[in-house]
Amino acid sequence: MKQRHGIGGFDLFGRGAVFKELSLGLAPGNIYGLLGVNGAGKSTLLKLMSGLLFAAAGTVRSLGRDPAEREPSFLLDVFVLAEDAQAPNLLAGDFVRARAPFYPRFDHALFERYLREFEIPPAAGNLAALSHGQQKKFLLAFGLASQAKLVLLDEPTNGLDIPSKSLLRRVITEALTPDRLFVISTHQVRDLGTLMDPIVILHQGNVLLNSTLAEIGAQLHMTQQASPPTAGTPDLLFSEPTIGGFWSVWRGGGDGPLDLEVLFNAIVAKPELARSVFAMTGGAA
Amino acid sequence: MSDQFSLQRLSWVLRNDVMRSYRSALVISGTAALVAVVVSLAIAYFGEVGRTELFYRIFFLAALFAWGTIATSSSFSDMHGRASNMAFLLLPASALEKTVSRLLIYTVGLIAYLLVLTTALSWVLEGINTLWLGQRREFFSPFDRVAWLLLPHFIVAQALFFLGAAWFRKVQFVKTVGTAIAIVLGFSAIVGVLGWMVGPTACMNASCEDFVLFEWLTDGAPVVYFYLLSPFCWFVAWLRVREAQVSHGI
Repeated sequence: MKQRHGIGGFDLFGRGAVFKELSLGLAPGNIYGLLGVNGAGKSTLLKLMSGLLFAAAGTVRSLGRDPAEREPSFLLDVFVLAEDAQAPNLLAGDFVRARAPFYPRFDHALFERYLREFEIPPAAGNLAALSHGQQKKFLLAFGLASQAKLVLLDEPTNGLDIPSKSLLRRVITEALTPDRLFVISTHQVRDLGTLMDPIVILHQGNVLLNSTLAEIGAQLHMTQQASPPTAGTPDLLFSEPTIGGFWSVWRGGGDGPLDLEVLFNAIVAKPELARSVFAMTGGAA
Repeated sequence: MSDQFSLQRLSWVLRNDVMRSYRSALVISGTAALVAVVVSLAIAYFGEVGRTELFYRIFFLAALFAWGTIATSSSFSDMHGRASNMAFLLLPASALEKTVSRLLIYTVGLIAYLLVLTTALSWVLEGINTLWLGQRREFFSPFDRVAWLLLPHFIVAQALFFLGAAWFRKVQFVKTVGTAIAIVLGFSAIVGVLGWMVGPTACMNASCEDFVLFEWLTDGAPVVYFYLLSPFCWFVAWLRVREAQVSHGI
């Protein structure tokens, strides 16, 4: 049976809890997209899953362990790339010599391949002297080469140039294995929309949606048209203006493309939509 | 491999910590050595080489207590830094290994490094003095008796600053000194009040030398100071590292 990464209901920090009655399970072999408005708790959730924060109440299990214990055998299977990730003031070679031994499955050949693909020279000199984007790419290459089973990426495309974003998508797709779980927290759904599946939407301390794109596509479809749909049209769930027209979300499956940004806006604007439409899939929390 | 403690993993943590800090250590020791060279040359210029036999002992002890306490105060700076604490907390090693590594570096490591540095410095400077003036001081011995007699006191001071480094998130050195002074003053006040309350009565009924409180203090204080205080500080520092979270970063 595949190990799920479960988050029980918890009340973080007591004062102004970030999550209330939150319950979420994530299965390996997937690249989850974690979406939410600012302050929804996306980064906090990633920190709870990796043991960087402790829940004040409730239970958090990652890879079958309590992440707050921060056991070495757990940590060697966890890689976190923070939004504002900074490489230490070390030479690239020293960094690898110092850190790689902690990861028994660290693949030096794979690491060098990632560096080549990200166009970072293996002898990159002092890591702190690299640009923010290069530091992120270096750390990502190291994290993926460590073969960690739980990879948590917080806004990974921030600071990356355009070629690096498409490269990032390819590298992550290639790195996905059946026992590996990626969680990508992002606002940049256009950068990573083709990569993330399933989608988890956090809102006001709870999970509004936890469904695969196939499940979503089976329940609704989207259209883009020049004029707004008539209000009250049967099966119309949501509509919003965009450049050059209107996106509309309709009940019932269809073959058209799903725009994650529109989906997100629709669900956050009408949380009851997620409950009514996706409750029948069993995917929504 | 145990999740609590592994010698192999400790060696990796040590190497990681040394790589993190060796460049600043080289800069600081280079600066200290340069100061020693200037002072030594000034002494030689004024023709007082023969009257400064304590030169290297003073250099060693000053460097040990000044650098040792200040460096120890920042030994967990990466655990408290907003940009660096994630890397510290996620390093696949136990809190015990991370604590022991820093402890070894700022006790055994620093002492050994300063003994070697001072010895090497004495060879270089006395070589210069011999060539320049034809006279020299004694070389510094890494087994200098007085230096070794003072090392236990350094270990005690180091333990206090080590705990301060783990406990306080910023200005650890100043806060540790302030806290230590406050604790000493508080303890002195308590003992003073106790002595004022029961001392005169006890001294009237028997010899003050028989007063049991004085016996406890004179017998117990060295034991607490030399054998209990340091392990206690190290233990609490370890507990602090265990409970550190990324939200503590400043």
